[in-house]
Parts: sequence; C-alpha cells; structure tokens
Amino acid sequence: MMTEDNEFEKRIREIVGSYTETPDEELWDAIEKGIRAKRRIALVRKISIVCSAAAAVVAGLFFAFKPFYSLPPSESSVIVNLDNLESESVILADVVTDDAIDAVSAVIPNVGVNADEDVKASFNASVSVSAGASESVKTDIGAVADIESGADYEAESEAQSEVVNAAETPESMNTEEIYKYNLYMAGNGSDSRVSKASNGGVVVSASGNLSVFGASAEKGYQGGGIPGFSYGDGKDVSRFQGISPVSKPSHSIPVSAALEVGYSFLNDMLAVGTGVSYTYMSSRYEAVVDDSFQADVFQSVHYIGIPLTFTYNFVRTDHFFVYATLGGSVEKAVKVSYTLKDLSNSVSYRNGDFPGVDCSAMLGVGVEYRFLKYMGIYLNPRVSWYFIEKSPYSALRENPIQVSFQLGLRFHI
Amino acid sequence: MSTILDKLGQHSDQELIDASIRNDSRAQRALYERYVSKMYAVCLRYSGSTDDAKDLLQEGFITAFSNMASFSGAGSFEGWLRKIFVNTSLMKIRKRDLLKDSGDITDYCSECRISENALNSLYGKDLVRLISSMPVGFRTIFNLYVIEGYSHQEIAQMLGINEGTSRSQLNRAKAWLKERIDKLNMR
Repeated sequence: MMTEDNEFEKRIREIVGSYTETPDEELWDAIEKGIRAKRRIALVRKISIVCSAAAAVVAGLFFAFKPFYSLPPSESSVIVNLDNLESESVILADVVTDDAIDAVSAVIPNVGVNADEDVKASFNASVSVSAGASESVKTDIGAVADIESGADYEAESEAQSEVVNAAETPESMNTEEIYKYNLYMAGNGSDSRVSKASNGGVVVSASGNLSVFGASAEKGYQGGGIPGFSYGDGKDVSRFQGISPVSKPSHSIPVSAALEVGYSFLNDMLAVGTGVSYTYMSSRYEAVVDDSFQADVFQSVHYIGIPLTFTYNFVRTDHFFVYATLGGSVEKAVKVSYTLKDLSNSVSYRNGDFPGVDCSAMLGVGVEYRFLKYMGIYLNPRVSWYFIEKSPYSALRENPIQVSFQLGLRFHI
Repeated sequence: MSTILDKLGQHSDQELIDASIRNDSRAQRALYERYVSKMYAVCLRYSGSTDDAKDLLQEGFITAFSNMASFSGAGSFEGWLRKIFVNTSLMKIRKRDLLKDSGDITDYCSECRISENALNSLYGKDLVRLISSMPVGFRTIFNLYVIEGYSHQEIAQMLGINEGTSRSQLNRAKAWLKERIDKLNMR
C-alpha cells in the first residue's frame, strides 16, 4: 500500500510537473502596471526616509551650531543706552537688571545707573553687554570709558560717521554729549555680531550646474548581452515617438543654469526660494525606428524647471556662510530633437513631444563667500533624485541619482 | 536590428534576471514569457477558479519582479519563482482565512485503488482541474505535500494546523482524487 501510494504520488508529480497552460495575452499589461506601481511606492518610501534623515540632520545642525551672533546668555545683560535720536539703531538685547547695570558700571563709569532717565528714554540706540562677556567685548566697551582719558575713538553708523576727539575728560562733558554718537561695537572681534539686525531680505541668485554622472558606458550589449536600458516605468516613452533605444547609449553630462529669487528670514538663518531653471542633455544610441529600420540617433533635450529650495545657514561669519539646502523641482522637456542616421547613411530629423512633467528632489550643502555686503559667490554640491516618468530616455533614466555642483552669484537686497 | 530583438529569447536566465533588476522591461517580458505557462499551471492548482488563478499569477509575477534582486543564484530560477507563487497563494489563503470555511471531503472511497491504466491515460489538464476542484484546505495540503514536497510538520506550521490534521486531510484528498481519476478514465 505504501509503495502503491508512493507510486501514485510520483506519477501525479510527473503529470503535474510537465503540464503547462498559457493565460490570456492581456495579463502582462496588468503585471507591468503592478511593477511600476510597486516601484513608485518603493521610491516614495526611500524619499521619505531620506527626507526624514535630512530633516534630522538639519535639526541636529541647528541645535549643534547655533548662529554665532548670540551672546553668551547671562542674567546680567543690560542695555547701555549710548546715543541720540537720529542715528541708526544697533540693538542686540533689551534685558535690563540692576545686577547688570552694576556690572557694566564697573567697566564704564558714568553709565547706566547714573544716566538720566529721560536721557535713557530718548536713546534709540543700544548695545547689549553680557556681564559674562569676553575681555575683547569689555575692551570695546571700554573704548567709551576712554573718553575719560581723552583717547580718540571712531564711531560709525549707517547714517553718519564721525570721529570724536574726546580730548575733554568725561567730567567736563555732560551725559548727553558722552552718549552722542553711535558706537559701532565689534564684540568678540566679529563684525557680524553687531551688524545690523536683519529681519529678512530678498535674495536673487544666478547659477550654473554641472552633474558628475552623465555619460554612460556601453551597457550590456557586449558579446551578445542584453541591452540594459532602463526606461523607469517599463514602458519606453520613446516608443511613442517611434524610436526605441536598443544599444550603445552614450549620454553627455547634464548641464543646467538657474535664476532664483528667495526670501531670507530669522536673521538670514533660513531662506526659501524659487525660480526657473534650464537643463540641456544630449544622448547618442542605436535605435529601432518605427519598428522598421535601425538608426544611429542623436537626441537633444531641453528642460525648463521650477525649483523650490529651503536653506538653513548653520555657520555665519563676516564673509563666509555655510548652509544646507533641501528642495525639489518640477521639470518639463520643452524641446526634444532627434537626428536619425540609418544604415545607408541617410539623415532625417524628428521632433519629440513629451507632455507631462517630472519631479526631482535635492539635498545639498553649500558655502558662500560674500565679497561685498550685498553680493556673494557660492558653491553648492548636491545630490538629486530624479523621478523620470514622462521625459525622454536620457542619462537621468539610467542614473536617476545625480551628484552635481552648482556655482553662482547671490545678490542680497 | 530585428536580430538583436530576437536574441532576447536566447539569453540565459541570469542575463535576463540581471537586466530585469535594472528595470529593463523587455528582459522582464522575456522572463515572463519563458515561465508564465508553468507558473499558471501552479496557480491553477492552488486556486479554485481560472479567475483566481489569473489574480494569483499577476500577484506572483509582480512580487517576483519587485524582489528580483533577492534571487541569490543558488538553485534554479524556476524553483525560486515557484516558491514565490506558492507563498503568494498561501498568503492569500491566510489573508482571506479560507481554511476556516474550507469544505470537507466526504464522498470518497478510502479502500479504493486506482488502476494503472487510469493514471497512464490521465491528461495534465484534467488532473490540474481535479486538484483545483478540491476544497481549499485539502487542495493546499495535497499540493504542498505531494507536489512541492513539504513535510507534514512544515505544512502544519505554514497553515497553522496540527500535523494530525495535515495527515488525515492528505489521505482523504488522495482517496478522493483516485476515485475521480478512475471515474474519468471510465468515461
């Protein structure tokens, strides 16, 4: 019985193992759609993880590298009212305590407690001095005290610039005269610490962008191998134009230029910007054209895109700024041209039409050197992810993750 | 150029797999064409109807192509693919809790023996249809034990049943099948 049973099972296995049945033709279309959908989900998941990681990094940087303009916290901060009504204000802090006034008085006699309340009230310029401030800050503030010894000091303001020769001792000067001028305080040796507080500003930038990965070596089709092209969504968009890339792809490095306008806020700590970008890509490959003949194809694609970027400055000095950027772009292939050369060397031309837009996401770090007060040059290496669904076959389809370098000029208005 | 396109069918499984991992749609199609008939037969055995079999086939191939990179090359690709389809069908059974309301086989002859002639003249299509017509629990256990070669212990773990149930259902399934094959042969 056992043997008979085993024989039965063996025979069943043989019959079943050799049996095949073919389903309907349309099933492949549904499978292809399902593969594309799964790929999109996996991509969205990856992007979410990357964006979350990027957000965590930016948040970590924010807490690790606080902007250097903040003075050491102190319960003894004090406003030292220094100047008259007409000058530009230089305001750093506005906390006044008696302890702080005492502390500053030790550095700058004739200040603070003894200042006339009306005089104080009329001042619109103030400098915050922490009781725990460094010696250099105290030295700078002590420049006021040098009025006593008659030392010269130089005062600057945006409205006026005067040199006061404090030849007279403070005792001979009344309170108002002592505090007549704006003092430009270079706390901690850094001008930016007392530079005019910025509540925001417009930034205009013009840049060029060069990708590192663009040209691709011949893939797959060597000694009978499969042409290894990836069309992203499994459906070769180029087929809509009657051109199906088959072998020997060669892509030029994508080149782009952009003009962006942005707005910075929170003392230039954060910025958001948008604008317009132009990208050019060209490719060469062998293709089957209209399913009927082979041709060498030269393809050129012109893209117009609208980027959106968020920038966080985590290092700021007088002239150098280091920042992180996160953003994305929507792009459309506005002009696609094909030059076809068939086996008999006849050349023909076609234009492609690719409706729809594609998106990309970007993460980068940058450094800006501000050589003028309102102008700087920047370099921004970055990684971009391209989600190519509607655009022609190109370097971006083969390498959707691109590393590029953006170089540009930035105007701070 | 048509020569290049024709060559797709001549490439090895590994070449097509490598290209599929790179999302080459033509390589994926070539792999699909190569294995769809066998896998559809697998799906028919695990499903109760052709519609269910097509759904299973679609799901199985989507899963396979989405996870192609996980094929290590150890063992045949066909074996790997078959496992995916078996697992997909088991997931469907578990998801829909089909075993719970699976019917019972009562109309079978436990002592009946099948003639040699009946087995020899049995067509694959008829056999697959017979297997497919079993209640889902018996059908699944029969497929897993007789065709895929799993042990009762493994089947019990996979289906969340005990070994005794697996054994008894298998015996009843085999007896039922033998009787049906004999009847088919007598027509």
